[in-house]
Amino acid sequence: MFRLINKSINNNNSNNIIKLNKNNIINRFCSTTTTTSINKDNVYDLIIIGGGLVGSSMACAIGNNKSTKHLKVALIESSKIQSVEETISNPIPDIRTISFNNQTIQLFKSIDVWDTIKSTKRINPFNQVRVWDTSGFEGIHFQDKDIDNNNNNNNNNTTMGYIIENNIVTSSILAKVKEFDNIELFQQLSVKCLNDYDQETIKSTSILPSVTLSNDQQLHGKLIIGADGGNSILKKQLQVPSMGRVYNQKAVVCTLKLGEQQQPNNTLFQRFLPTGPIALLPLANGYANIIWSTNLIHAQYLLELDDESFLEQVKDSFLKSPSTSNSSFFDIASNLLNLNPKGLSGNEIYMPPIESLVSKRASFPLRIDHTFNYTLPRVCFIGDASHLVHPMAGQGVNLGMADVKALSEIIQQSVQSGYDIGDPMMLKRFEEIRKPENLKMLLSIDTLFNLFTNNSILVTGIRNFGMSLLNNISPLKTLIIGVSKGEPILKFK
Amino acid sequence: MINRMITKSYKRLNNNNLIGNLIKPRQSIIYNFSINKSSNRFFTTNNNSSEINNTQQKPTTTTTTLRKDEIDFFNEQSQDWWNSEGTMKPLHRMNPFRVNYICDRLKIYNEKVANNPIHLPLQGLNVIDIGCGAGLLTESLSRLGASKVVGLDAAKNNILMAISHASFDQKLNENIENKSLQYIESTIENFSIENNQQFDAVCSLEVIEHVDNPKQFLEYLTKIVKPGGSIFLSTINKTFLSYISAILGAEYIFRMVPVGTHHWNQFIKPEDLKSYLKSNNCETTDLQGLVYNPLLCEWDFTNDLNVNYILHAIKK
Repeated sequence: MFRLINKSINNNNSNNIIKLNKNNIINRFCSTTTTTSINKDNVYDLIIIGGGLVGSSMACAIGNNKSTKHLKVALIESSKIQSVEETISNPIPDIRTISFNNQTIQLFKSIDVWDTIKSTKRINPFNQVRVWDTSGFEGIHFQDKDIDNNNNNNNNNTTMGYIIENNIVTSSILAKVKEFDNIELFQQLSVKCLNDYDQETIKSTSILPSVTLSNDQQLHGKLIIGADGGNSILKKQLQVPSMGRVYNQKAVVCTLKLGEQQQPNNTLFQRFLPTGPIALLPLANGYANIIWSTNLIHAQYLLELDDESFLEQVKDSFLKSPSTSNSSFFDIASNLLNLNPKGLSGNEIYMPPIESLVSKRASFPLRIDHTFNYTLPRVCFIGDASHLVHPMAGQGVNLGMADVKALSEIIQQSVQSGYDIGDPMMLKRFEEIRKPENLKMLLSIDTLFNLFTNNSILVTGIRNFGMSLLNNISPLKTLIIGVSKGEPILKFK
Repeated sequence: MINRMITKSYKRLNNNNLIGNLIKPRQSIIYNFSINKSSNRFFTTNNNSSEINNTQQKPTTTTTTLRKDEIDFFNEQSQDWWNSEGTMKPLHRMNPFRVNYICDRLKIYNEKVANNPIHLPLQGLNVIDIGCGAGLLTESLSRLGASKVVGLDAAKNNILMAISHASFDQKLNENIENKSLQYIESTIENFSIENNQQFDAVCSLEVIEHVDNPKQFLEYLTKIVKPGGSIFLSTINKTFLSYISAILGAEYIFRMVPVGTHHWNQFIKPEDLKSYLKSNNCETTDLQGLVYNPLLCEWDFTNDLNVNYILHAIKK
């Protein structure tokens, strides 16, 4: 007995002081925890916090799998859940749109929601990506036929992905989720806190962690999945250490109506301005979405402009070379280094005509963030809750969806191999699978961001040399397109 | 690997005359469990086997007697054994594969399980895990719905650890309560006397290489299988490659498992195992190699039987 006490004191000492602080903070968060009786009704196998794209897909992947459909799932979403009909009743697309890569589309097909999404007729495939900057260089042009040249037998790869409104996809998935008997939806309820969570207790007793909802209801879960985005309540409360930086940038988003075009609207445009990238994502029915990442002051300026001048700014930013780079020194240097071999000004890129602004402008701050632990005892983070990226490569949601795929497979494996679904080894395997992939993407996107927002001649030169190399070496380009489609370069098995 | 745990408690158990002649110590580890004397309270020991008495020593977290402290103590030990990132990591990582193998084979060879729900593939079967250690495989088998699972180990501490770890899980706790999961401290030769032809499946995974007389061990083991029942054995082949990888690689170079875990001359060739089984009226139906990737910490099935392999046999 004595020895036991001694040991526990030693344990506390050897673990650093931060841990003690953490406990205090948790207590402060949840000062009014009451121990309510655990009955079968409020014990769930899975509690998924956040019914956004990632959270609802997670629930759907569990419910749609033969091996895991018996699991009792609670899906907690703070906003009101819209039906598919409600979301498509407004002909003007929502400003939150996402480019889904083929892996994600594959996931949608496997959880039987793709047909619903397709039936809304609000999806737009893209098969070309044009990326250029302000140095006048022609930039890089990805086209899906680059892939087809090399894999002729892969004729079904006709698109690089789809651009779809966020709420259409979410409501389609949630419509499917409602069909499953074992999934309980808690809408318009948020999670107040995780009650008395202590890692050691959870690890070494049969006590399950529990959450308190905003209506003071308590739910106990064998595994709590945090899918509540970049500002995750769970992550904040558990003080999960993370690494990242704030870009000091904001993304300004809006929806445009495009003019009449002869060709279908299947190209994604992105231009790197000195202030940050601006992208035009083509949507179905002649609409397009603008995501303009820029510094905070400029973003504020853009938000305050009237619609007419804002549209002018958008057009200019795609086509005109910025006045700041007109220094004579730059011209001489670029001639010497042959940075601009064809003497292009950037105007030559074909852009679809922009007709009018059809939505309000909104903005959100940009940062990169990656948590060190994806899992804690009986807690697991997926999607933006564990990794947040710059939207310029459109990979944030796709990474989250890859998490969903991996975690649902791990849960299936746990069930099939007779493990508890909160088993630490199984969760560790999820982390082992996803962490390298997520980190690789996070670093690539951060590197690209640094490379393209740097305006020194040297960097511009190297960048354009690299891009022209890329554009002219087709195997390399195929590789990059593969990566942008979510296909890994190296496979270990 | 189980050897380590077995040898730890060997000396003490030998004094109590509980251990048979099958398991012999490989290394002497000083064992400083002061609580041993009182741990008899957990068991109603008889000569043959000591079956767990549920009403007395069910390790619930709410009991307030002295036993709780003892259980706590074993909890700590069992966490060590159950630390999936510790020296038992390769074994922990192997477990899902071997469980899947067992389920897949049983699905083919036992009509009883053909119509079971997909998440309870072992419903209706009596299964035993011989040399259960702290219950890694036993817990999985119990969660997969087997109507009776016995975890058998000669080492008292292993059994205690297994019980205390099972108490972390509500489902397993229920199973212990309704006796569908039992941990029994006994040797196979003692256990086999009273349990002739009782089990639909007998598993003894990563155990036989720690056993002194495998031929005799299999004789006792096959006795408790029902006719038509399955036997699952996994061990390490006696080849040059197994010396390089399982002993030089795993123990000396990568230091994945403690030095002295395995002894090459205890390893068994699949042909020998097959012939031992055949002499006990069991037909080997499948042999499958397993390979470990120490960089990714992942196991995979392979056709190469040179190192680790798992075997499925049917008793006629």
